[in-house]
Amino acid sequence: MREIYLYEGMYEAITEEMRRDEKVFLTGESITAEGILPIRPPKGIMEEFGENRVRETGIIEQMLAAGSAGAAMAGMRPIVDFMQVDFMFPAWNEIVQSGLWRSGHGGAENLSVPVVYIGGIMAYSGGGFSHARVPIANVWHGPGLKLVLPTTPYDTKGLLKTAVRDDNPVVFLPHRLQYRTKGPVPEEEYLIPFGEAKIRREGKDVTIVAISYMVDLSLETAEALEQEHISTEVIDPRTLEPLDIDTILASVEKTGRLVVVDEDYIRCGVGAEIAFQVQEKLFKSLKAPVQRVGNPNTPVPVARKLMEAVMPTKEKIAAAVKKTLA
Amino acid sequence: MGLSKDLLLRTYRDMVRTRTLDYQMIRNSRSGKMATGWHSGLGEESIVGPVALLGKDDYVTYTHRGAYVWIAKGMSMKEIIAEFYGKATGSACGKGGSHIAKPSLGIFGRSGMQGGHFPLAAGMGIAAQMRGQGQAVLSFFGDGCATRAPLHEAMNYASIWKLPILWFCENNGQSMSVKLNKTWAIEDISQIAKSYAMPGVTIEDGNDVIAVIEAAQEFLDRARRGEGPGLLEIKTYRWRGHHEGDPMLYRTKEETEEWMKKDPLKRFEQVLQSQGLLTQEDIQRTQTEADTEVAEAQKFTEESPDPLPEDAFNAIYATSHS
Repeated sequence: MREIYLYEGMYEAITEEMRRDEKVFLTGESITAEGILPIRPPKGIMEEFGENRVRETGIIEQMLAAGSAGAAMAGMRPIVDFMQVDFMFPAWNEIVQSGLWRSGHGGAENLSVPVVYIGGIMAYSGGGFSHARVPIANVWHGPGLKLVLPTTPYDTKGLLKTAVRDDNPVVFLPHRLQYRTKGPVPEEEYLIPFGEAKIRREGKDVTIVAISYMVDLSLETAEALEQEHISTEVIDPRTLEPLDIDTILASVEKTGRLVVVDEDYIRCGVGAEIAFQVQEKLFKSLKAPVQRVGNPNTPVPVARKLMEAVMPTKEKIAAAVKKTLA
Repeated sequence: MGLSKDLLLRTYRDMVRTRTLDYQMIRNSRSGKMATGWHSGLGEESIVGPVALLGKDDYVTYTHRGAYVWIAKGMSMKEIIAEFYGKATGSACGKGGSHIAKPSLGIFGRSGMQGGHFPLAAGMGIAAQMRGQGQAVLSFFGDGCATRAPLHEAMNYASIWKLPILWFCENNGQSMSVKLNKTWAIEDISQIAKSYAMPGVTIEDGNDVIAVIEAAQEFLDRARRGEGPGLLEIKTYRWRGHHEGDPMLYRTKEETEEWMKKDPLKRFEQVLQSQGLLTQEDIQRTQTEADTEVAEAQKFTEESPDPLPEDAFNAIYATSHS
């Protein structure tokens, strides 16, 4: 099978969906500019679809979010490229509210808001306290939004196509350190349903639930731990809303030990929620307290040494795994 | 410009209906039975006219005082009052309250964040433009929310993309309690239109119903022709407080009384009478019909069931996809 970069999978999904459905349009800052951004837009997208469906903008986050939500309520299917996930903050009300319109209207006439908000996770970028924030739990916290965190080129393409076709607002967060990951992606069309976790590595001693780029770090950690005869299972939920808790529960039932790894602030975070759901169902199967690896509520510094002190590393993941075995 | 008799009489009728509903909701506000608060639009009924210019497929966004939009765009009083009472028969099954929506009439509710509708309206304009069937967006806003940032992003891009939108400012001179000279450095909000390279017009006498309709017609025609958005500002006044219960300590009785003399409905009634379009008998009949309609809607509401607790968990996520 051919291999392509993750960002190519993203743009193949966008282009294919735009060809399939003329209601789909793409908007965002510098979306046709080659060479400026870490991900390159598909060649000829403007020539193929025109300005009506490729709406390149300047810096207008609220307009990108609510303008797209408004167009979605009025029957279109916008894809918004925020470039970076922290750029969603200026549009936070608009994004969160897009997940509330349907319920707020009581589902009147089956109103839906089919919009996809894409934002690259910029952790480990040297972006510091602003750009290197990873607001995963913020999105996941309230009702109405779906949340997708793809980690391979194959998943990125299949999940993004599903996101475009979903009738709900979907926040889609690829990780910049994975944009240039290469992987097998078939030429023929496929979709990946939301709510199906992927077991990236099988193991029997400890379960690691890893979010986004943390899947890569956890897999490398698991390899190293194998040398020490610790067998680790790594689960990639792929979507948090909906969450495939069953796959996680089945794994923890087997291992009795759980570590959750993500790049967001730990407090009220992804690890807290998953740990709670696991203990609620599997309290008696747990052989050790659940461990969390994440950012300990600290603004992300720029200097490499400081940033590594704050953010998850392979060493911290390994230490957390061993703590469940102590 | 010749406005059709039908349009004028429909506008008149909907102004009477809106006002009658408004008085009922003011009374309801004191009943303790409402699930959510009422923001009266008494005195600002001249904005019914522009809504009468819209077709079913056109989009509209409204302010706090949205009754004129709901009524003139074709919603029933039953589903409106019932929604304010939080009844299962309300337009949003009791979940939305004053943020009334009717997607099939191009009404998608209202952002609770004031000014949040500017980009939403622009988005509806994008949909209209992509569809290319001559739909337009009529986006009402007050002078209060116009100080917020989303206005800039939306108006700028609506103009760059030549979206078919009429930005319609109901300038009632008060941002809750704060007077216009404390919220804006300019006197006429239409002045901002120049910054976005679109036409901007202020109607000083915003309670002149015919002038308001004629100006709106011109802007909407222009938008439908693909020539881009425009900004129409009318100066008007709300007779009541920001919401029912507002003691209105920020303004004088004399100021309110001055404006009440400029009642848009009474003046429009006189114009129609002088043109021979309306008789005293018509006036009475229109009022009686509105009274009956409101009374029936009120009765319907009070007899309607409450939603079931489990309904709170319905309709959060759509289960459908394209």
